[in-house]
Amino acid sequence: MNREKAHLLKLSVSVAFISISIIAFQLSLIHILSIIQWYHFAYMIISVALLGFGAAGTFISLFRSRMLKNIDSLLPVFMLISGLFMALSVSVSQSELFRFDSYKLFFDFSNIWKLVATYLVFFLPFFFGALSIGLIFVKYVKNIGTFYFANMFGSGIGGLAAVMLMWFFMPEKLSVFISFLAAFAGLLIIPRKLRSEFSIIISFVIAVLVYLYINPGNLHLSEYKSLSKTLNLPGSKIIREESSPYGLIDVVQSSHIRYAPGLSIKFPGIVSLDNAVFNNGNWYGALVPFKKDSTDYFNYTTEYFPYLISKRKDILILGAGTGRQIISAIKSNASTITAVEQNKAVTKLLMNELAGEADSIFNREEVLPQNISPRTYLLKTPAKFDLISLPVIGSFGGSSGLFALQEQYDLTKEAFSEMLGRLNNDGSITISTWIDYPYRKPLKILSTVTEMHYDRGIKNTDEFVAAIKNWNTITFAIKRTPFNNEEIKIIRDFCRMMNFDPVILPGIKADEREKFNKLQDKSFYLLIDRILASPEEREKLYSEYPFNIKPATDDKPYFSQFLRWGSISRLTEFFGNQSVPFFEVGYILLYLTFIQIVILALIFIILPLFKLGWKTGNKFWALVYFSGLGIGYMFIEIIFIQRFTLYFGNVIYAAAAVVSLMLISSGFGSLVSQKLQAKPNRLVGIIFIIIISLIIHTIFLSFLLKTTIVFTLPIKIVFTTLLIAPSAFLMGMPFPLGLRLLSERNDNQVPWAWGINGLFSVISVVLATIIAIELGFVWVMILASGAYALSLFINIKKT
Amino acid sequence: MNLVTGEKKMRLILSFLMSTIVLVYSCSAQDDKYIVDREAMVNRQIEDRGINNPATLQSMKTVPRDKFVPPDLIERAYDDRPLPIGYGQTISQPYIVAYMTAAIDPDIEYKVLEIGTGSGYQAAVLSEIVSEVYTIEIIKELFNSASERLSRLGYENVICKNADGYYGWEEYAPFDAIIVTAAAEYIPPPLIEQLKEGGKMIIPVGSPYLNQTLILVEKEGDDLTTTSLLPVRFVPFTRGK
Repeated sequence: MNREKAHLLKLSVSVAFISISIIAFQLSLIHILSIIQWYHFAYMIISVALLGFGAAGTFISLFRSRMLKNIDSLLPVFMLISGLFMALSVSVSQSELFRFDSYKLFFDFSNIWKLVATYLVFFLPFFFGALSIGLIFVKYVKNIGTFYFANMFGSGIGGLAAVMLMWFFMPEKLSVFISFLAAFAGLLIIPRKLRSEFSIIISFVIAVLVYLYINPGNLHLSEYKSLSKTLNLPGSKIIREESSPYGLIDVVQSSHIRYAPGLSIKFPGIVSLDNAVFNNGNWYGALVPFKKDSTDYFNYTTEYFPYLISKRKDILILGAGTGRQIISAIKSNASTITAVEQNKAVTKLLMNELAGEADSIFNREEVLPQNISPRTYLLKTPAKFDLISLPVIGSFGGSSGLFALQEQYDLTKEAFSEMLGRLNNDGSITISTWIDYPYRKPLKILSTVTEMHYDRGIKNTDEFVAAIKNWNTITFAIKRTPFNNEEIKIIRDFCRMMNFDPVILPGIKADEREKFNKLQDKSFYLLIDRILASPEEREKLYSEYPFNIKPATDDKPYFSQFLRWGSISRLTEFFGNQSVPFFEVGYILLYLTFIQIVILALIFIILPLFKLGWKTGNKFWALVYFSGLGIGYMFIEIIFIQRFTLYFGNVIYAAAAVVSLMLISSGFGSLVSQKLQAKPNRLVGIIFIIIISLIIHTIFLSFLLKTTIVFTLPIKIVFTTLLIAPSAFLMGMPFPLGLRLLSERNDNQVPWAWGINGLFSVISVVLATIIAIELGFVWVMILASGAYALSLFINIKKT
Repeated sequence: MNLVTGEKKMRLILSFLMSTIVLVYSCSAQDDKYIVDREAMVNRQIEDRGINNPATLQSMKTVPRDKFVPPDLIERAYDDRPLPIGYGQTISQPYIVAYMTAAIDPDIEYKVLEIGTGSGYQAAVLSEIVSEVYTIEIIKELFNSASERLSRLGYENVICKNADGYYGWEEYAPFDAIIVTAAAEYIPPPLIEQLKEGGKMIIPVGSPYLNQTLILVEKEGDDLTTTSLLPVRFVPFTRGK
């Protein structure tokens, strides 16, 4: 192999390793920030940090010739610095000077500067890593296909690697471990003649990395997270801690933990819990010791009434968590209890290491644990049940809209329809929620059930649904057949005994609804009656009510998203402008993130134009072409993640598999593109085929996935590869071909174009989420095709 | 000689008196620094929002909220918001404190139990109105600082305990009213037991920085009723029909 080829190979390997480290670091950062802050703040911080890619393109544009002149020494330096910052960033962000608590932003805006500093701290590793990749792309643009392959392949491996490594490394060590990969990438390409000059830098970087690996420091959780608050209670301590891709699990022992949603005020005993499980610092569930007297309180909760109205032999629990609902099922002498829980790490703990603390309820003969997403289980199983139980929605005290962006496939209209189809004749679905104010969750559950019934030909939902409330919780029972008189009497008697009030019951009278638990705002009952009244009345309510209470669907599976922009002024009038943002913090943060990154992206795009000139060259073509590619690719990635999450029944592995498969396939596409001539008509042809494949996906993908969901995992993996790989292969070609084409015309615009692609990729992730929430995933797919169409048309113009 | 000594003595006494007067004046001037803020807080944040219980208003005007917040937050003591006091806890928004106080309809004869002392501010507000306040705090550090603060500020009718409030304070039960400041998903049975016949219990529901609603529990014989209260600045969401 001649020298030049050997050099290119070494550079490719280096690009692969820096790419592995960048993606793995990104995932580990999401993991860490979700633990110490809340997920949406993690999302915001990382979105801004990822602009490091675009900023690198801008930087190279502005200092191109100087950087290319010193590329041999700069490349390893950038990679080493990237590695160094990866290792340091977490510790620095946790230091007294920089540490901020996102919760305090609610009241103390002076913390904003700490947030900005945090952005910068996490921006630097991505910036320097991207600088090295960008410089290589610019210098060796004629071999862009090879280097882009290395970049994509490395990124794909990085995603898989990060998910695997999360099982073995605690979060604070993971980011440091990953930084060694970045450092290795730099070490690999230190020019022989500069080795002695580099020896000090190398020694320093390695020493710091080793030190930080041995002493990573502790992660400081927000003092307002459930775990922090629980650890403040006397005698509380963490008895077990485990890391997994599902999050950081902490098991806490404390005699002061109280958790009994929907408990009657008439319960005379003591609720004793000793242990609780937290995931990423958030409450996950209590470990309820299964001793007869300690679990008697279950019979005093609103959740118990579905057990009273009929014998429950075969029970399905969707979202079994730590097993609280399993205990109710055991106490009712169920023959089989299918406990579906997506978090494999928690179930594994409860069946093994914590079996004692959980009284081995998961190991009982009648309990059948299933580690799969609840919705996927429903799609796969032909079994029927006497009771299908969902977990309590939301958290006590509200989650301040922090679930607004979370896809909740178990709470869509289609999900309820599938659940109803899985019931025996006398079976019920049961679901509870906290009664929030302003009223939202109970109304949305009811509208979802009512519309689901209507779609199935059931026009009188009030005959098939019962709901009872106490002072803070409401529990619904949804049947396949109408409630009979005996069942109605049982429910009324239960309410009388427990100081509960029926809210929905066939033949209910107005004064029954508030015998024991009054609401000052009685519009709650009016709103319920309007939902039950008729489709026309329901539609009218949807448009009048300031919050979105329309059912979530599989296309827009955002049950907890309630805010309507059009109602902001009315809400401000009622609640004061200080309160409004706090209804839907997650949703507001999403838009705030979008605004921040668009503004920054515009700055990064515009800055180089001061040097490159505003009018000359192929700038308009480059802007449209590369932004279209960036948007199209990321939108497709998000659609595939969404579709295959349900298919595989596990969001973590589905996302890792889909992203890695796409990146690796695109990498091979890029490699093959190296053999092709970079011509506009070639770009047109390839993009045209991509658009056709996307249209085929739009039409057939859902059907294909639904049909094959029952297959075994190996077959599903093969099928997924066949579905994704060909399109992704093609999608890997336009970018390197476009860069080569641009370099033939305006070489100095290459870094700018690369930066644009990077910036729009980051913007696209946030934009796709916004579009999915506002319009649905179908529109994300349509707009993805539209983005590729833009890139196609701009090349037709060029031919 | 005696005259000179006598003059000297007079001068000394006068100087001492003058210094004392200046010192006392400057101390009160320091205290007075927040009187205006306190008055404004009561007028704008509480009275204007419909709370008109005279005892509550007077108490809120009297209790120096600035003495109950962390030193670095003194300037924000009278803001219309809760403030952090450490250990994941907050001193409640002034409006909520006033609302909860008025909601139990406090009387000079009352014996009140508070679960969750926190900074001690709510206890201090209650102590200005009722006969006895018993307050329980589970976090030792908060208990220590609150009890020292209450004692230093002269709230002698407030008795503090470091314990789990779940069990109430049986020794001094029954109580005319119980204020639970720590969010609880259910009402502990011991607290119901220790509430007097005809007594009221109030619990805030919701996250302190976000929107809170208040639950009023009333005990009449064997009957217990709850009412989910709206802070009056929230207009009910009633629609036509």
